[in-house]
Amino acid sequence: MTALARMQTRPSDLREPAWLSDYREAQGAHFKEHGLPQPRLENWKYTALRMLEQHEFRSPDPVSVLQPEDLPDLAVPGARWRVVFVNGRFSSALSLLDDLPDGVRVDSLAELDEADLESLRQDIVQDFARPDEALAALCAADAVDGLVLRAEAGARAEQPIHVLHLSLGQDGPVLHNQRDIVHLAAGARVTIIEHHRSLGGSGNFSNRLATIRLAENSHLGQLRLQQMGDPDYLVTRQDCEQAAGSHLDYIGFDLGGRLVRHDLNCRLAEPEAKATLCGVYALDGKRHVDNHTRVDHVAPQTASEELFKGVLDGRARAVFNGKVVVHEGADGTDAAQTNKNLLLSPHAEVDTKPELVIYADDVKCAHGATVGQLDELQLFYLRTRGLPEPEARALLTFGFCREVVDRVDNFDLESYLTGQLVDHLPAGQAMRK
Amino acid sequence: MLKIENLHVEVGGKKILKGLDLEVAAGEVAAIMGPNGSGKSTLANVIAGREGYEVVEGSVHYDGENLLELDPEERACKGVFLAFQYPVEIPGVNNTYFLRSALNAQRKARGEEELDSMAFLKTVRKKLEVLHIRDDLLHRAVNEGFSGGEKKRNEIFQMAVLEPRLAILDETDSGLDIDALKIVADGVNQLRDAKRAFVVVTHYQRLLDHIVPDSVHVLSDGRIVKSGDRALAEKLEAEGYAWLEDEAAA
Amino acid sequence: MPSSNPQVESLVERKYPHGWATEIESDTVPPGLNEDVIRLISAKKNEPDWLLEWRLDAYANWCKMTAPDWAKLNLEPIDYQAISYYSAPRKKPRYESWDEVDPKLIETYDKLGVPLHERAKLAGVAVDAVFDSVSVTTTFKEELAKAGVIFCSFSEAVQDHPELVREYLGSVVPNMDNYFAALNSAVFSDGSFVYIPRGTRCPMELSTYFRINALNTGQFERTLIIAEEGSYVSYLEGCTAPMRDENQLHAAVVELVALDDAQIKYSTVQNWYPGDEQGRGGIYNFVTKRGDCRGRNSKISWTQVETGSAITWKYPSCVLRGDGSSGEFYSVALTHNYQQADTGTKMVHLGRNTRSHIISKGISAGHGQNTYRGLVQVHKNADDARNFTQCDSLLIGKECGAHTFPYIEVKNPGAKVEHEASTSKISEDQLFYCLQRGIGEEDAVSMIIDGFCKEVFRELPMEFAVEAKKLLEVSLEGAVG
Repeated sequence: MTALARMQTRPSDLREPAWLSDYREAQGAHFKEHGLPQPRLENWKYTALRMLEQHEFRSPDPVSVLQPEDLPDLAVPGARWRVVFVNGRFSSALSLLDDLPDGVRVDSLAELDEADLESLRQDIVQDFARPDEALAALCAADAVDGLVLRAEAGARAEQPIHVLHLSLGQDGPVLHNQRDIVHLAAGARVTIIEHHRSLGGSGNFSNRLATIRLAENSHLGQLRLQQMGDPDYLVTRQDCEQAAGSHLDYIGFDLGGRLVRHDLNCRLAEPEAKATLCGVYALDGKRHVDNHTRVDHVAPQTASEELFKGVLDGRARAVFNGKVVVHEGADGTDAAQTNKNLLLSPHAEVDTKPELVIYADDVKCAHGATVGQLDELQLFYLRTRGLPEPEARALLTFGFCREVVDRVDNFDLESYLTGQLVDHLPAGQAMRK
Repeated sequence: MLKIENLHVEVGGKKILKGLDLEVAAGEVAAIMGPNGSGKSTLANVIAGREGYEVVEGSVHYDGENLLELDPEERACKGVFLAFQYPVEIPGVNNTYFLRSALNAQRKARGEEELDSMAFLKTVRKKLEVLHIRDDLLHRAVNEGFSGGEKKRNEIFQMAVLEPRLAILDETDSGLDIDALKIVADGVNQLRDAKRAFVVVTHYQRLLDHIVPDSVHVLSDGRIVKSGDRALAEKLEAEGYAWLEDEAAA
Repeated sequence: MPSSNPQVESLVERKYPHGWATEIESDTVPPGLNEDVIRLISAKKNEPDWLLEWRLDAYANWCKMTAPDWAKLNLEPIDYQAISYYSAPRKKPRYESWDEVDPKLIETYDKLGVPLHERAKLAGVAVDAVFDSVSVTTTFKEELAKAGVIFCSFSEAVQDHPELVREYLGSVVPNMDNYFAALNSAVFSDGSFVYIPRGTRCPMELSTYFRINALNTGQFERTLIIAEEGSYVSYLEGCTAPMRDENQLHAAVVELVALDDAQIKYSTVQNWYPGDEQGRGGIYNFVTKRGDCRGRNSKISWTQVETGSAITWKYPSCVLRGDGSSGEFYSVALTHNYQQADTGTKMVHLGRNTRSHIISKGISAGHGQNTYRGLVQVHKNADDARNFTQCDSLLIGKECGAHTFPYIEVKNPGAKVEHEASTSKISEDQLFYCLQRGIGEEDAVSMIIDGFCKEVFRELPMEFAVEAKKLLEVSLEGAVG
């Protein structure tokens, strides 16, 4: 058994309802039984977690030592509210939660009272018994805190909520688990910016699990900006259950980290539910980013659209695995899935697997994947107009990612994210003027 | 201004240009005509510096400088502009941004101050108006989803903004209706002055009704086989290219 | 979708046309698999020691392996001890002359539309007929020999050209490649052998016709095609089996080797017995087919029309080793009733400037499950590799399934890989348009399906293209309505 499989990050003196401690025990047992997912599991074929075994992770300190003045400028333009988690624990000192819109509540999972916890019981007690979801089991067993975001029927947050996840070193790599719950009631509309940053530390491992429930006609905008430090690990999984007419609009920007894995699962349980999953990954060095999506079209007249684009330089490796499952009876399904990659270095690698599993006949499903490089003719065209080659390359590379950036419909955010992305592209500095 | 001597060019091991000579002076509009496959587009691409066009012999000088030693962008910064026969679509790259980057790169190379977005937009709007082009063109990606005519007009619009000293128009008239043809011609005529030169590559005489050339050169099998004035273009229009071959054979 | 139409339904209840069995005296070894059975097969075929060793080695490997379960297949575990691994008509495995061939066999093949008799031979097509475990006869042998082409049964090749067999056997599909390839390597009985000498364009189409007849036997044939420098061959294979309630196992291995500038075109029309409307019986078709583009600028092209078998598990692949080599895969797979097909290809780009092209058309009807599973792999040194893949699925009815699992792995920045896939049903607009013009529903559907498969059909040799089209129509009968 590896060091990781033996460790338990949750304090032993948690005062919790019995059902919750029992649940943690059961999930902890799943993780101990399976250990880290191995590459022989189909879902981990291209992402080896061996390097996690080299570390002796520590449990996070229970109390954050950070004060607002310690924070570098991490503000995101246009975001009015901020929720901060440091190593998986809510920090009220760093958060800005005044004047939340009517009907929108933000809580720390650790601070919920027993009755409130009971009301979330169904969301919490999901069982993660399969070997390929062992890290979710670990998170379920050990996460003591996380974001609880609830919006009542018709509630609207006109501006996005910035959810900042800081990963902080403490004399050695830290493993922190965090469990988030998002509930939008009928017609509610909220946008969150999920921002992952490291502040020092070497090789922190952040393991996160989110349960999202979208009621009729609700809309969740989820922007994820991942800028973890070079040595850091991040594994996230989210399960989104969607009612009629609801819409999850996810756009991910993966720009950092050593090894990053996202599992994005959507279950379109009722008609007219829609999931939009988009992502950009711009990777250099030895970064490894793996996006696994799974959309279950359970009800008729549901739609999903996926667009993931990536630029790989250095020794970076990207994995995309998109699975669209159209269940029996899910007639009128419309599913489109695209993954495109630019390979810029002889040592970079792309593994992509767009999958369709279809059990209904009245469907419109299409997927596509490409791997290629910058177009020489386009490059020449730009140069004949006077652009120096590095700049022309940067411009084309950005142009390649643009399709995803354009999906951000808030102007301030779009400019901000464009800036973050451009800084991260090879020769991006050439464009930054 | 442009001096080409004994130019031999191969593409993929195939000889296309076989000892081409051409001189174009400042202020001149030179028309290059010739049948399909005679090497017209090759000539245009070689002047702009496209890869894959191997110069095996001969020279191309521009203002006394060896053009063949320069990268495509260096040529552009020195005022060489190519209006492509098939303008390239670049999805995701905004036309305005693209053109401002190009203009500023050229201005920088010339030691001029770069234009900010406001100043740039002002210049650009004026050009659009003059060329009767709708300004929604600015918000679209470079050539993406443009019709054939729109692409050609966009080339001329870029030329108007970049104000090159030597502009090469590679079959810019092909596939254009008469209105679009006039816009192209207007774009050229407005730029015409004593310091600029144009090389107009075309298959038909039609464009030359609107852009009156100072000289006409006939390119055939990789060489200029006949040079003359405007009357030559009219003769070609009336009689085709066959008589030239007969003349050459005689 | 078209509404229920009783006239159409009654019209289309035609059955599998090749479902009869031939009553023939056969030499069949008792069911069961162990070293002794392998020794027996090898002895019956009078094989050299090295080949027996190779078989025993494969058997040892197989014993250590477990049956794969990753394919999206739903099947009962196979009892390998209940299968007979060798069955031959008459005591004598090979006929010295035409007159010795059992008239019942000739009749069998006549009935299948594959005349073996000298007078009635298919024009321009040389046929090797394999009945259960052995090759019955090969036509046009002398004519081919004049061109230097060797076309014979695998058993004959072992006797007559042992050096070629020894050099190439297992060089593309090793005897421990996968579970079913290992099993085949241990017990294979016969198959076809083709050798095209340097610079030779094979003067006619070569073809093997496989027929499973005996009850409770498996068929394990082995095909080996070697195309020397600058040669060309087009090879066709066809298969049928009688209707039986039990599932029968067919685990073949096909190895192709193309040297510098050589070209191999391999076409298959697979029509093993698919089982009945309730999913009873049918052939389990677990086949390993792989081509090695060993030489520069060599080319291997796979075309397949898969309409038969209860379960198909096959991925004709190309190893693009030689610089400038190219691989193609064109496939139509149709599943109806309870058929399951899991098929696709692997294109492994190793050399520079290698090209691959994949067109896969899946048609699912009834309760049929159709899966495309493919791999495109571009290795580090495969500069300027190109791949284009297109996978389309057509669904007919509410209970069937169509699945796509492409794997794309790229380790070279000069590679261009494109994959496209779509899934659709026959659109009401298309159908209505045809109906409005006076075309009947069945005709309209078959027309639309024919159009859907066109890119693949046009890769087939003419005679096969016609047969394939008809086959598709017959196989789909009852699917619409």
